Amino acid sequence: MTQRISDQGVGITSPNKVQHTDPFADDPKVSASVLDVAGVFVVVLDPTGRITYFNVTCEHATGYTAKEMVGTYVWDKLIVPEQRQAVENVFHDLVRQPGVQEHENYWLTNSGKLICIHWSNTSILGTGGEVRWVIGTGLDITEKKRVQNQLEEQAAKLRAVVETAVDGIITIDERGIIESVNPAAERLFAYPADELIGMNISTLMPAPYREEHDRYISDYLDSGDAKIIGIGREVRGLSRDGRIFPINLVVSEVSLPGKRLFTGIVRDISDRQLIEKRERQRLAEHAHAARLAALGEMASGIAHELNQPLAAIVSFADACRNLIDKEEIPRDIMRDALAQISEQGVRAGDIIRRLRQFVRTGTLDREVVNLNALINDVLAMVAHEIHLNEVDVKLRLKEYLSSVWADKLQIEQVLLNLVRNAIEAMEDSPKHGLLIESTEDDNQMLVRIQDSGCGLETAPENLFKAFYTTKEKGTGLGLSISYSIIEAHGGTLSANSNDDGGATFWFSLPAADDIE
Amino acid sequence: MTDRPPIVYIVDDDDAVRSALALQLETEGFQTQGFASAREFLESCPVNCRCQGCVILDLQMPDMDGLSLQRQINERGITLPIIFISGHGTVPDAVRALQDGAMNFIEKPIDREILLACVRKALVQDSDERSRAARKTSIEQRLNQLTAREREIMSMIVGGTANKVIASDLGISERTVELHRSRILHKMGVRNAVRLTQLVVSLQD
Repeated sequence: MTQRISDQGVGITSPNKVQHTDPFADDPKVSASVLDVAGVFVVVLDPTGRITYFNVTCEHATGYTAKEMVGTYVWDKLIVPEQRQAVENVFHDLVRQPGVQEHENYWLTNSGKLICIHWSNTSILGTGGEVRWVIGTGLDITEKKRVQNQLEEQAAKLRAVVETAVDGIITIDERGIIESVNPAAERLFAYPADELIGMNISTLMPAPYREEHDRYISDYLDSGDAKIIGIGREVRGLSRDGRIFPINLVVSEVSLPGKRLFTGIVRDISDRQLIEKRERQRLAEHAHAARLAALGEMASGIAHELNQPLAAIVSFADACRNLIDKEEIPRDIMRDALAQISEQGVRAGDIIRRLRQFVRTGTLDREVVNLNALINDVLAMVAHEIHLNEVDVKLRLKEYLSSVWADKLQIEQVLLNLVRNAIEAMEDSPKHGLLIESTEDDNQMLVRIQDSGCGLETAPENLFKAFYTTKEKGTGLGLSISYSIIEAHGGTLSANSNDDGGATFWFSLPAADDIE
Repeated sequence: MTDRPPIVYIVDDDDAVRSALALQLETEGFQTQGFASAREFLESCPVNCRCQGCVILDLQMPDMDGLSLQRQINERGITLPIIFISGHGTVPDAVRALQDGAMNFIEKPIDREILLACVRKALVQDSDERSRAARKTSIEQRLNQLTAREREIMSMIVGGTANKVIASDLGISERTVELHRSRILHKMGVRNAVRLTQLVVSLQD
């Protein structure tokens, strides 16, 4: 380094000189020139702190001339009063303990501007080991400092936003390992940050979302197929205490040199979903009530219709009784009356057949329905009853259960009805265990709802008859409607008592792609 | 009065019910006549029809239901007693029918005993109503024969006023009052003032 500077110095100042002599030793002007063009601040102080040398760079930057400055204490004009003492201390330390020392301070220019300078200071010792000069060389780092401060400020602002965000913010690496979390994420999942960091993000999701998420990430890394990047998805979160709650997850990718990061913004949408659930529940209950009302209306209409042939039968029969008592029985009239009786009997049968058909074929508004999702929806609807009755719900849902082609609202009604029945059946029971299971067998989806309640009080075949009920307030229509709904969907609904008490209801529905 | 037997008119749109009821009532010794609609019945039954009997009316019929027919019958001054029959009678329907003068409200299928009791009662009511109406008509005819003076004196007699008082009130002799009195009794076809009073009071029922 020294060599190179001296070469340059030679080139600039005395091109005609012989190269092998030492220009610094040869001509003091060389040193002075180097000090002036190097672009660094150079000041030389005597052991008391008085300026003895003030180079051109210093003059330009401060607006003071060397002439003005030489002989003044360095902290007199250049240091703001508040820092004067600190600078003096640094200087005296250097004098007491000579060596190389670095520090930063601000100089106040003649025009009142502050410039930030990074100093490397050293002392030159005399023959007796005493400090003769203190040399300070400095670099103007005002701009660098400003950029740095700006970055720090930005980072602080960003941190404040992230720290106070209501949404959970989680960064994960390519493998799904959590790198950072904000306090909202800690609160949301009930884990402290230090436990979350290093965990796989999928730990925060229940099945089947967990497997789905891992698959999405690997799909994305393999093929760039962004199923989750940039799009908000509704998934479920699993907190440390086992609570499963609906979340909206938005994942975005951050590309850094040699590294890919994913940022996940997690929003708890329990409230929003609760409102939606309530609305859905209201609809389902409304549909149920409407069905009951329609049935009631129909029952009344049927009663009138049925009474017509019955009235005719009764009157014809009474007439026949009168005719048979006559001395001379009018055979033709009697034959006619009896024929009418049998005809009216057939008519009554037709009316009943029509009734059964009506109950069976309400119009179905079919769509592709995932029974597992529906089970979760229904559980959310009855969450209050489950909590109130301290029901212990166990779910055994088959992963990747095939969809069914069904009227969602009607199947929801059936599930709601069966789950509510189960909860009611356990009201007076010592055990409150509800098991809901979904399985798939031979293109048939099977849902089982098993309770630990009072069991069936009648033969299963009576259960689904209209107007049969064991409940005080029951209409006796719930199960019969459920039965006809499942039947209309091409499935079956059955029940039996469990060996260890309680009852199990199950229904099957064909897979969506199994329906022509 | 005609001696024609009473007829049970059956108005029901259901052919089977109508013919069954007809056959049943005929085997019980009644004469019946069936109508498939309210309109058919109204067309065949002239105002103030002289026919005796009662009407069995189905509450639910297309076009004009039983209650509307009942109103039409009342408006036309037909006094035949009405028995409603219904497949599923609602309480408000029954109340309305009874308020509008229906005799009875029977639910289908119809119990034989109830039907026979209702029909018999209706026929008795009809014949009572008819004789009362006939008597009323004859009393009115007799009243129309009285002169204005006779009517004035008759109302005083019915009011229990003595001949002497009537004479002084009207400024005529007691003898003249006596003459009016015997003419009134003769025209009204009664023997004495007590009978006359009964006749006039019966008219006001």
